[in-house]
Amino acid sequence: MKTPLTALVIVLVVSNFYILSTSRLGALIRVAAFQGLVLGLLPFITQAQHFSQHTLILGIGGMALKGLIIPALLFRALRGVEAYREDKPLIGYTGSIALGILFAASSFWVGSAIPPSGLFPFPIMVSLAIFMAASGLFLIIARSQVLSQVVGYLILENSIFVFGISLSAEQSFLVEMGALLDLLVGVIIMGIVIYHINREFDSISTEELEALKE
Amino acid sequence: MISGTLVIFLLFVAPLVGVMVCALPLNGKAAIRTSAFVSAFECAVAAFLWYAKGNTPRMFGCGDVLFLDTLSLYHVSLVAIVFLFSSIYAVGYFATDIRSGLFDRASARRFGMLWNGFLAVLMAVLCSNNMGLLWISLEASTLVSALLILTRGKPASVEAMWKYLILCSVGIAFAFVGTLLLSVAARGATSAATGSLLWTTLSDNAVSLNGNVACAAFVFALVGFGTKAGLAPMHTWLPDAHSQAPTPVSALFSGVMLSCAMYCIMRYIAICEPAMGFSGRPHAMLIGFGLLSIAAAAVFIPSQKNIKRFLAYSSVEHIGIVALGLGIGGLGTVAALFHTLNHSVAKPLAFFSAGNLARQYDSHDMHAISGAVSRNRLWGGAFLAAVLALAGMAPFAVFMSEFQIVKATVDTGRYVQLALFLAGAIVVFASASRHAIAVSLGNTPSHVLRYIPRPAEYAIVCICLLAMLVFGLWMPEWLKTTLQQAAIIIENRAALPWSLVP
Repeated sequence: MKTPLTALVIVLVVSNFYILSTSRLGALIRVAAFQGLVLGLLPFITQAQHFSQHTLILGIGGMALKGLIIPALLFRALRGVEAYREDKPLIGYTGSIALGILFAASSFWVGSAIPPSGLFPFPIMVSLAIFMAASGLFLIIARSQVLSQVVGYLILENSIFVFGISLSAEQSFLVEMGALLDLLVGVIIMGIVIYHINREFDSISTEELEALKE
Repeated sequence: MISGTLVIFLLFVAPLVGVMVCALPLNGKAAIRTSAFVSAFECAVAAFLWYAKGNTPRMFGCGDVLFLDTLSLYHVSLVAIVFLFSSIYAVGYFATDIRSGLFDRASARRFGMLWNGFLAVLMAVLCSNNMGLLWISLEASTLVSALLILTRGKPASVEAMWKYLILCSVGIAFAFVGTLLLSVAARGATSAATGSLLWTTLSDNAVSLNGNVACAAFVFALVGFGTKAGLAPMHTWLPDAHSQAPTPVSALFSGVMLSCAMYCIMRYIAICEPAMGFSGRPHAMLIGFGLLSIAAAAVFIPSQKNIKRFLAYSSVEHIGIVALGLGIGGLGTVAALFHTLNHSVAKPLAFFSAGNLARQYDSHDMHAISGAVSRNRLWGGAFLAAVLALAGMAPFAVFMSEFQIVKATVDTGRYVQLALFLAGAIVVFASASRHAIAVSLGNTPSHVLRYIPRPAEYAIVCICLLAMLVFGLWMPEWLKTTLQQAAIIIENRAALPWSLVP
């Protein structure tokens, strides 16, 4: 079980670095979709021993939602606005990658300090979750395009999903479905705001959103 | 005899029926009125639930997924009452816009659907026994209420909505980590609590939970739900959202949404403090965030120009005071719950008055609004009274709850915290009174016409002010008992080391 898990972790780490280094909004959405599909596979590996119908439905449901439906919604939002690139990131791409290396090193250092136990059966997943959460928050803070921030939010949500798996925390089916539904509705509403921001400001850059600054 | 289960269910079914009714091809006025009917019905349901509950500590519904105890029923009642007042106010507030065509039929119906949906999810927060469902409902409340900010569709409201949505979604995501950690903390616990996310099971077996993991869970929950509650330094969305939302929505945000987020934190205190052997660390964190919020309000309130932003920062202060009371514990917890009630009554009244005056003077700038009492006796007077009450002037009830918090702080020997609280409260009192007096008294601009209120507006003002005065001068026995019972639920220990008698 260790090898496929490590392979998936490496794939997710690399995809995260790609997210930190790209300026193209379309690429950001594609990588987030890719991560969604990969994350859908994780429960099948970690819960291989006590596999249930519940795991199957949530795995497939999660893959469909994060890998197909949400990216399709974001591409739809992207088509409606005239923005393809992140023109003025608050922190440049070289700086972003350097910070990414720092995030990765520190999160894997923290993870290595956790001994595998009943509470944390997969410490490597804790490291991955911290790295993804840091990258997601970084994207929300350091990018000015609203769509990049939405992708940052998705990465943060993905990191929590990974964290849940690292704890093998068994939520009830209802709770997990509810959390997925909230995510879907959240993205739809963010899509609505993108439409309104574009209509009011002729751009989807948060640099325009400064009328309410203190 | 109608079963309690059925009635708990009615708490969300009624607003959901309201959503469906507003989806029908109604005219604008009818859509807004539907919300008022639903809220009135919710008040009746809450009243019946008090009767049905009697002396039973807990009522369950849908197996054990839903439940009500004194703490949740207290908050349910506050939500129902504030929604009722706000919906009645909304009928008059939007009537002019509907007549002039600014608020078309589709917008009014959408508003009615969102309003009822918001009520349904807040009720779900308060009735959830499953901590996962509690989180889902609170996140859903962010999503529904974000669209309510956008009712007017102005550029500034789009900006406010974006900030609200992104900050609260990220904040609430942290609270989900807290929920996950809570389920892990329960793993090593007694067999009854293992793998459970039911609040009743977790709180009953709280001492057997893993203390360190419970501590981590509390940190994430406090930051997550604290963002939604508007605790500093996570409060930055709050002044924008409150100032840009239509007035009835601002009143709901301040009056009940912040309290519902604090309610989630209260549920975590009841589990995490015993799990950590009553180490006092969760309480210390609450005191820290509480004092920081009071300080943030004291820094920003003096320089505010926008009348609704001023009230929004005042909410940051009051949520900080509630957190401080909860952090002190014992009598402080009783006072925090009493303060929640007082804030939920006084703040909507202040927002209603501010919204009304801003329309009459056609400006939200407090420099442009003066002599309000002479042009609009009802709302000008209500604004002056509500702001003075909120600032902590005797004999209003806010003064009493703040006084109890001061007493609890002195009783527990926390003199540094007391000094910081008093310093913040004095600055806020001085600057809020200055704003209130400048708006209410002084010269009236000649272009402002006199306002003739509707009878319902008189009723709202009189009931709120009377409640503030009565509770300030005399606390009825039933209220005292309710507050003590709710505080015992939060403290969650067999023998209380403090007196809970206010």
